[in-house]
Parts: sequence; structure tokens; C-alpha cells
Amino acid sequence: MKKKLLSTILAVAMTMTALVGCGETKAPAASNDSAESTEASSEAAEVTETAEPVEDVEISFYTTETGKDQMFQDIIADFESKNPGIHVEYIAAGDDQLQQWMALYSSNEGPTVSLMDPINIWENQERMLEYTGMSFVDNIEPSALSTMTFDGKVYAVPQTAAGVGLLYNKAVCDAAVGGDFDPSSIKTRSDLEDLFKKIEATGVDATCFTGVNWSLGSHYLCQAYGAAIGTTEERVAYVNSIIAGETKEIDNDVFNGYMDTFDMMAKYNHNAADPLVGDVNIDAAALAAGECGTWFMGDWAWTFLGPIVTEGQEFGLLPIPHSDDANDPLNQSIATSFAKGYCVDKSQNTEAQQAAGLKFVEYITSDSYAEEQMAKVCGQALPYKNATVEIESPLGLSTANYIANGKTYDFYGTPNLCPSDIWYECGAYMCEYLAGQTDRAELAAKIDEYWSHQEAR
Amino acid sequence: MSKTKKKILFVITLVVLIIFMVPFFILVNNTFKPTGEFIKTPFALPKNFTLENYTVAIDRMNFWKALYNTAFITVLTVVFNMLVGSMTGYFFARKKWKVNKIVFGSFLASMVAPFQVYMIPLVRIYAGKFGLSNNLLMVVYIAVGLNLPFAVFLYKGFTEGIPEELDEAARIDGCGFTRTFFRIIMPLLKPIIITVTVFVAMGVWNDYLMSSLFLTKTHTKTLAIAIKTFLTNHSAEYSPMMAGLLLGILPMLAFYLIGQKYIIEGVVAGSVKG
Amino acid sequence: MAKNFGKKIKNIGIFAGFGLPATIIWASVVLIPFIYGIWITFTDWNGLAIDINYVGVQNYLEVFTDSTFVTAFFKTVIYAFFTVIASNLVGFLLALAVTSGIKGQSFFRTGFFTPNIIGGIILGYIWNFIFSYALTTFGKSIGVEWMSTSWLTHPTRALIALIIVSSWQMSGYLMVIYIAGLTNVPKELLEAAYVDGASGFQVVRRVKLPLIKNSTAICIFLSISRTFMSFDMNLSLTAGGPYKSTELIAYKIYQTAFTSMEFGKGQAQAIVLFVIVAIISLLQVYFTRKGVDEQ
Repeated sequence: MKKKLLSTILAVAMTMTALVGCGETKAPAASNDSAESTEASSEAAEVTETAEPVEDVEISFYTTETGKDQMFQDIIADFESKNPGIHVEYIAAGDDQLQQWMALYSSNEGPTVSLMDPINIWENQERMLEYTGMSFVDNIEPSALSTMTFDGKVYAVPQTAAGVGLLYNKAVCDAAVGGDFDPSSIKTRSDLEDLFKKIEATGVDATCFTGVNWSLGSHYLCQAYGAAIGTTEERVAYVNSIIAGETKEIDNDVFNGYMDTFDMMAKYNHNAADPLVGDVNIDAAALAAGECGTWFMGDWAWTFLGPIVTEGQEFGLLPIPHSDDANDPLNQSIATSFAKGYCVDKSQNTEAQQAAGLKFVEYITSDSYAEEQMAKVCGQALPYKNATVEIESPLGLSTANYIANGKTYDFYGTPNLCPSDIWYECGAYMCEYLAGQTDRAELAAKIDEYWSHQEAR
Repeated sequence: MSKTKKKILFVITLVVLIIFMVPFFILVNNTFKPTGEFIKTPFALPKNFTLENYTVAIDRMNFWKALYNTAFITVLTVVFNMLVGSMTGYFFARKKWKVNKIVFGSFLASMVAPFQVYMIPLVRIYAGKFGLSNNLLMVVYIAVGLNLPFAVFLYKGFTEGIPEELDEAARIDGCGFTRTFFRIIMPLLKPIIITVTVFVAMGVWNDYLMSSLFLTKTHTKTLAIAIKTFLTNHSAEYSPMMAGLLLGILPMLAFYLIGQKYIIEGVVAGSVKG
Repeated sequence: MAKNFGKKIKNIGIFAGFGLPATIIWASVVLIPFIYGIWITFTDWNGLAIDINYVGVQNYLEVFTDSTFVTAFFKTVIYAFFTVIASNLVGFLLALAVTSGIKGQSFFRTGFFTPNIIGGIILGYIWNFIFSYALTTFGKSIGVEWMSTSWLTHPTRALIALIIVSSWQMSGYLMVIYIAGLTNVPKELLEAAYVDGASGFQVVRRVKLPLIKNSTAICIFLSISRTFMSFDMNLSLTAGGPYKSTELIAYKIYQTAFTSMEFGKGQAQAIVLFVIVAIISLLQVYFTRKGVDEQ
């Protein structure tokens, strides 16, 4: 009997070992112990590590700028060849960037360098290395740093400067104005509406909204918390007063100004028959084919436009005017958004890794090869002082021209101005409004309600 | 049923099947178009017929490595799930002890637990505490565990349909519990083994959420993770993505076609007693 | 006494060999992480933070006072109700058709099952195209107003679209289980019924349906738990839109945990969902058991 028991136990043991033990990797059979040891894992498991020699170090780079794997891998290869001894593990997010980031941190494999949205970096600044005073930060355009700075401390450096506004098809606009269309001639909301009327007179739809939450919620609505409110401090104060319930959106001129423009544009919407179909590829195709004259998007749209435009077509970016004041410089300025920044983790990486990570960040924001690749593939302006690279994308070029002429303003001004889920929550309200299911008072009330659940900035 | 009726029924079923398959026609059709053409005319036949999407998919997805990883995880999961699941199913079917009822009840309850509740804890325990991220065997272990309740549920139901007299006869011949199972019962379980195998294999082969939490490195990615290469922030490169998807499901389709005959057999006996 | 003792040892041995491996694996992969997950619901953890603070039952209180959660729950109930009925009905009818002795039965069985071989995400995108562009083109050409605009931009129609696509996918799965039940119905019984002059419909109602009660119970159990946890299709077909009107509960939970980064609250919502689905499943099992026993 005993023999039998023993053999049974052995058999089980063998099954278990086979389950977890065989194969290439370390730590066999550890999973069976999990039963006892998990309760202790409540304290966030921090690794205590010792510094390794800088010469040979493995770091990881997590990017949430998706669909550009080849570009990043080329850049990494170049970096590795210039920095022997540093090996960079490339990790790309899909469409689930926060979930993957959480999974990596939960695995104690927090990426050494992450390219994340500023709001996410801000929310987790306790994990991030402070850049303040480091030399490579001097290479960043000062105007681009405020989105990455909290309480005077720099935690990230921006990737690209994304221009947000109305994309236009020059041929369509030329035909409408009967000559060479000059984007700087649009100084007010009325000017824009005149242009729209002229475009429509040629039998082409004047403008186009892509009826999706991120475009309407994150890009259109957030303008109402932007430079039109005032300085960064004034913006924060304004948002805080909404959070506290002291101010109502509906009483605010800036909000109403942008919504007036929104209403005007909605009248000329290419997608008016079915405003929420919302597909960037379809809308890009419509703009390229001249089915509509303008499109509310941003210069990143070149990734959709680029492959389908024909030789010789010209495109550019127009600002969104929020008032009828021809002297308001904002009406002629493009909002540039520093949507993603590079941060270095200090909570799960050794000092040697952090040092190598800093090298990588410095490289990717200043090396000419990296800048060239970035400008070519992303087609956007780079907020780096030493960047001389030519941008091929006409949209990125347009943004760069606005920047060169000083006609830009910082979209958010501060990393934490708008919460990380505003695109989803308020984006839904904006979609509802675009579809004509709510009026402005209701929309404003819903946005107020959303803010009331947020913490003061 | 009369012959005319059968013919009418055949035609109706065929029509329904064609409607059922419309999305697949669209899928296959568009893998032969450049992305631009797909966006403009998603429903037309390819104007510029191309196989480029397939080469792009194979190249960018690191296809062969991903295929290997997926097959490795799926095969091992299926084998261990079968072994452990069938033994437990038999045990629960034959020994109605209180402890068994409690365990089986818990298994069933966990079938309705949303995965989100325990997915991050899973990562914190296995990847965080034990440092087993990017370990394919770890993913196998977890996949075996996640699929056990469903497997045991079906195996138990099937075993209950096998007359207990068979066990008695084996015992009289001197077989113990273990030998009875491996010598007498297991061969009879063939249909249900194939059924469970197909269901589990399909689930594991297509699993994205769980494996994406553990497999982050290029050389450990499975097909379902690699396909995400074609997703960009606000859109997707549809054509190569569909080509990659199609390539990825071909092995499963073949597997299902082969197992199909047995599946029906397996479920026949399994579900009715379940 | 000694014999009893020996038997006990033997039983323990059997348990160790046959019951323990599954129990250990399951406990280590499901149970313990699940308990860990419950613990998180009592904290304010955001999924990333180093510091974790206890907040008591705060997260649960918020679940019940959050009107959007309650809305999402009722949407899910509506969705589940229709999807369970539609997919079971279609699955059953398909099973009847492919067990009736028509030509190409196994070909049909494979065809109808195929939607299950592909994961939900991509299928959702393809259906998205169908609803947004194919149906609308067709609708415009025949001048039908409700088909000229995308179903996915209209709250009620988007929910219907979700029900249609989910039923489309699940009915093939359920069909397999119904086929199993149907092929087990004794041939003699059917022949006897026909000899007695029963019509095809009567045979289905009076003979087949009562005899496949077990299959039906399994199918309903599976379809209820699947619909209540439906996530993939919700994400890729409607993404909760238009304006969050098709935000089903599993999707809502995901958004709370991974977009709003209120991880503890998302976990609490998931636990509430678990309890609700468990209760519904228990009731369903109880009533079908009762039905079977009364036979």
C-alpha cells in the first residue's frame, strides 16, 4: 500500500515538474509556491539592485507611438552602434498602452525609457527620474517643456510637436477663392465661414469632422482650456474653478467661442448625414480626393494621407478661430501639442540602467540620424534646438512654418491640465452634441459634471 | 422528410451559410489589395491584385517565430490540460465526496468570474514575484489552469455516461483506481478528449489578453500579439493585418476540419449527461 | 479499524493523484489571484502607483452610486437577453437543419462554426465596415431611410448591431452542442412519432425539444456567462459608441481600470458583475434542474 502511495505521489510530482520545470528558462516549479507567498505581495514589490558597470547594460524602451516599429528599431540599432555595451529591448504598445504599461510594471519590468502621454507620466512621477538641470534638456525648445514640467521639475522631454487644426486641400481652396489661397487671410470665424461658403459654391463640401471621441473630446474640446484662457497659471486656475463648481462652462466666453465655431463648422460638415461614422482613413481619402476642402485633424494625419495623395497635391494647416476678433493672435496661431514624452524610470531600474536610459533619451532628442528618421517617418516638426532636418510632410512643414513665425501656442501648457480619460468621457458628450442629440447647455452641464469628479489640479 | 423538403431545406441552409460567410469573403478578398484600395472600395474585387500583404505580414509579424511560439504554447497546454482535466473529471464523476463537490462547485463558479479581476494580480505574482515574464512555459501553466474548469466540467459529464459496471469489472480483475482509469476509461474518452482539445486549442491559439500580459519581447510573441503590429494609435493597416490573420488561423482551420468529425461525437456523449 | 484506516490512506492517495494536481493548478492560477483581486478593491491603487492606501468599502459604494455603471448594467441585461434568445434559437435551428439528413451536413457544420475560429477583434472591424459602408450604400440605393445611415451611429441600432454580430458568432458554437443533443434522440422515437401522424413541427416541439433539455441548459449557461462578459466585440464593433450608449459592463470595467486608471474601482465593478452573473447562473441551473427532474 505504501509503495502505491509513494508511486502516486511521485507521479504527481513528475507531472508538476513537467508542467513548469522543463525547458529553457530559469526558476522552475516556482509557481507551485505561489499559494503561500502571494499574501505577502501586497507591498509593491520593489527590487533592490546594485549598480552594474556602465559598459554592459540592458535597458528597455516602451513606445506608445504605434505603427512605427521599423523607425524605432532603426534608431535603436544606430544608438547601439554608437553606444557599444548598451542593449535596448524594444517594446511596442498596441492600442492598449496603459494596460501594457501596468503589466510591465506589475512584472517588475518597468521600462527604462517610456514614450508616454504627459498626463500618465505626471500621475506616476514618483517612479520617474527628474531631468531638471541635465544638459540635454537645454536642447529642447523652452516652449515645448512646459507640458513636461511639474512644479518646476522636468520629468520628460517631448517627442514631436503635433500641430492641431484644420487641414486643407490647396487645390480645392484655390478653386474656391479663385486664385492662390492664402491661409493667413483667415483671421476670424467669419473669414472661415466665408471660405466655407465659397468652397461649397464650387460643389465641394467645405469641411469635415471625424466623429470620434478622441478627436472631438481630446482635441477640439480641450482647446477651450488652452491659450485662449490665458497663461498656464490662469488655465489651471480656470480648470480648478470648474472642478470646484465655482465656474460653469456655459458662462465662459472661451468655451462658447469655440463651440460657436464648432456649430458653424458642423453646418458644413462633409459627414453631416451621418456625423459619427468616424473613420480617419475614409475622411483622409475624402480630403485627398477633393470631396471636402478642409478637415479638422492634425499634422499626424499625414500617415493616412501620405500613401493616397497623388504627386503635386498640396496640403496645409489652418488655425481654428475662436472669435471674430481679427486682432486676436490666437485666431491665426496653431495649437501645438506635445502629446508624448520620453521619461526614465527610477523605481525598477538600476542606476546603470537609468544612466543608459538617459543616454538613450539624450541620443533620440539630439542625434542627427534619430532626428532625420523621426522627421521623415512621423512627418512632424521636432521641438529640438539643434534640429535642422527637412520635413517632407507638407502638414508637418506647415506646422514648422507656424512655429518659425511664432504663431503657435502650447496646447495643454501643463501635463495635468486635462485628465487621462477626458477623450473618452467628454469625447462621448461631444459626439452626442455633434449628432444633435443635446444642446449646448446640456453639453456644458455634462462637462461640468465630469470635472466635478476630478481632483484639483 | 420528403426529398423535395430536403432540397428546400438544403437551399435555405446554403443561403444562410452564404450570409454567414460574408465577412470571410470580405476578409479574404481584401488581403489581395493594397491598403489604399481597401479603404476606397472595401467590397469590390481587387483591381491591383497583390500578394504583398502576405510578405509584409510574414516579415513584420516575425511570422515564423510567432507561429512557433503559438504552436508551442497551444500543444503543451492542450496535452497537460487533457491529462489533468480527464483524470480530475473521472475522479469527480466516480467519487462523490464532499470535498470533490466543493472543489467542482468552485471550478464552475470561476467560469463566470471576469478575467479582469485576476489578470493584474496574476502578473504581479508570476511575473513580478517569480520573474517569469516572457517564459512560454509560464504561459502554458496559466493557460492550463484557466481552461481547467471548462475541461473538467465536460470530462466529468462524459465520464458519468460511462457505466460504473465497467469499473467494477476492472476492479474484480485486479485493477486499482489508477490502472482502471488509464487502461479502461481513458480509451473510451477519445471523443470528448478531441472536443475539449479543439475548444481549448482554439481559445489558447487566439488568446490575446492573457498572453500579452506575459509575453512582451519580440522573440516570445504569439500570433495574436504580433498581429497588433498593424494597429496604429487611431487606425490600422488593415490589408496586411487581415493577411496575417488569415495565415494565422489556417492551422486552426485545418485542425478543426480534421477534428470536426470527432467533435460532434464527443459532444454527443458529453453534453447530454453534463 | 485497520481496514478503514487503510482505505482512508488509499483515498488520500487517489485524491493526491487525481484531484490535487487540478486543484493546485487552478488555485494558483485562478483562486489566489482572484482573492488578491478582491483585496485590491479595498484600496485606491491606480494600477501603477508604488503606494497603496486602504479606502475600505469606498469603491463598492461608488459602484452603486455611479449612474453610468447602473446604465451599463441595464444595457448589458438587454443585450444579454436578446443575444441569448437569438443565438440559442439560431443555433438550435442550424442544428436541426444540419442533422436532418440534407446533403453536405459536415460541410455546413464546419461553415457555421468558422466565426469561432477567429478572435472577436478582427471580426468586429469587418462588421464595422459592413454596417458603416455596405449597408448604407445598399440602403441609399433602395432609398430606405433607416438603412441609409450607419447603424453604429444610432444608439438603439448600434445595440441591435451588437446583438446581431454576437448572435452570429455564438450561434455556431451553440449549434455544436445542440447537434450533440439531437443526434442522441433515439431514431425509433422519431419514427414512432411520424407514424402517429405528427407534423415536422410537432416532432420538434413534442419529441426533440424535451429530449435535449440538458443541451439547452448548457447552452443557456454558456451564452449567459459569455454575453455578460462580452468585451472583444464591444470594443471593436462599437467601442461603446455612439456616445457611450453601447457601453456594456465588461467594457465599462475595462475603461474604468485602464483608461480612467481607477483600478480599485474597476476591480470592485468586476466583483459586483461576478456576483450578479453567479446568481443568475445559479438560478438558471436550479430551474433547469427542476425542469429536468419533473420530467
